[in-house]
Amino acid sequence: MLRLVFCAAVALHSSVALSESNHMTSNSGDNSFDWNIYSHLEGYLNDIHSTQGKDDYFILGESTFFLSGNFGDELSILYEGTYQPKRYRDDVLKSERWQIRYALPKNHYLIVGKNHTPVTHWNDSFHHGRLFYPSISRPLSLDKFVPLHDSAVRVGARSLGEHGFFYDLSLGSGHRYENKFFSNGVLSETVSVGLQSEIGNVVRLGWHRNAAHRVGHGITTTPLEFHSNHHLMGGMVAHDHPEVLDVLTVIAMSVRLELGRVELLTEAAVSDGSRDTENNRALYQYLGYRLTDNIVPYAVIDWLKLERGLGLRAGVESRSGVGVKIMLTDSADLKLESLRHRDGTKNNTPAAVEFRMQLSVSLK
Amino acid sequence: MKLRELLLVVLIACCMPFVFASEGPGTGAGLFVVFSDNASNRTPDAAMLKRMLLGQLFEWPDGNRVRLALPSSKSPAYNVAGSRIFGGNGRTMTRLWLQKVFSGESRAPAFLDTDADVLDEVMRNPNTLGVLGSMPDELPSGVRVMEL
Repeated sequence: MLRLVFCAAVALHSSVALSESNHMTSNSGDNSFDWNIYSHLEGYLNDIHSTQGKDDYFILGESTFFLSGNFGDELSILYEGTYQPKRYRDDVLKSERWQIRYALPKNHYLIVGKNHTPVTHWNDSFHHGRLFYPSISRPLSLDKFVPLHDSAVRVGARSLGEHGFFYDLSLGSGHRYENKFFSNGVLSETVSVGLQSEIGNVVRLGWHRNAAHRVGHGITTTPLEFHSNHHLMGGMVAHDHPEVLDVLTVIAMSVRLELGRVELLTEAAVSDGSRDTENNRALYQYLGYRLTDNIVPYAVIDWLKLERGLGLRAGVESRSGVGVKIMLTDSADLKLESLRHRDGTKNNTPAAVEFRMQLSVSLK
Repeated sequence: MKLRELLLVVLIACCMPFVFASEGPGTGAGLFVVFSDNASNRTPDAAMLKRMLLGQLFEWPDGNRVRLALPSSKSPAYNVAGSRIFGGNGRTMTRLWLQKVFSGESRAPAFLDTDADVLDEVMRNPNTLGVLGSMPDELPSGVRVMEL
């Protein structure tokens, strides 16, 4: 405990010191490299002290390492890997993203590699570093039935015309094969379109279709179930005997608005599967008010209804409550949240009032 | 009170000075953009320039890739640029660019300490769009300045 608080103090001190220097590599010259590390400490308390409730904790969260490089004006690379000690998750090191990006004329681009599926604004805009999240946790739908990653070939454009039209088209390897680049051909497609205003207001519609092979003796997985099992069951992987393709379609809508001092983010998603029981629904709603440039109180509602999937029970999970985001320095945030959390997708976990604290930093 | 809760209170209390630290000039001061007018067809309007500074437009009207020279936290223009262009303060500007660069969306801007450094960068690379806190006394030839 004391060690973690010491780490928090060191991280905060480092971020203050580094914020006084230039933040990023100079863009002079044709080639440049840059790196960064994001990390966070998270504390959690709840009002249920039973075997069914989660234990209180204070942990070192996922630390994210970035390496980016530019070769001339057109070609760039990005690698994103995460680290978390063994006691917090099974995979200590994970490669989250690796991508090669080539800038095409007229504000277009081509991306090849493992990248964030551009089906929602959240997934396309935020990386694993918690510093930029508007709330402590990402929407419940992500990595449940809205896909996080895909190894894909993606073409897109930004800011076309005066209304800032943008689009992305992506052909991917599918979630079962997100680390095996097209080993089974094209198994996922994503189309995303939207408008982005000058001040960053965004409306986005996303469509994603993913196919996965039905495996084993009557054992089936939804497209994301494999991915989730990988997380939840310590990397347990079903036997790979492709027989039948199961298809999951996700439709998502994101709206991000800044109205004076008011910030709003809506992420809504539904899915429909080739089997009868895969109609999932989710809504994440964030509403913040910029009290000062550095303090943003907010309210958040996050609701997820799973009809099937993920090695979890079908059911409804919801989180709702209030929080405050305090921008400490250029590269450090403190977020505090008090939420009512009910998770009906697990073993009848009772609703709990949770208090969370997150100190997130960027070391550069 | 448990030790854990006490430590949390202490941590929050230690953070407060950063939150209420003075931020320097804000919306009242001037702000200018500077760029080379040597390239052909380079007639951007203010909206286009703002989209470039926000990382939404990647290229000049003549097709060349935009590079950016923005004020660092040591520059008097830091919070003015953060307010006028990014809708917050200097931190908002820095964070938006940290997010963009490490999402793989954009090349990192140069964050420079003085207006003279920004002008030098524009002179050295004609595709650079720079942000200045004041109108230069003497404008080098081939360079154009617009007030934002």
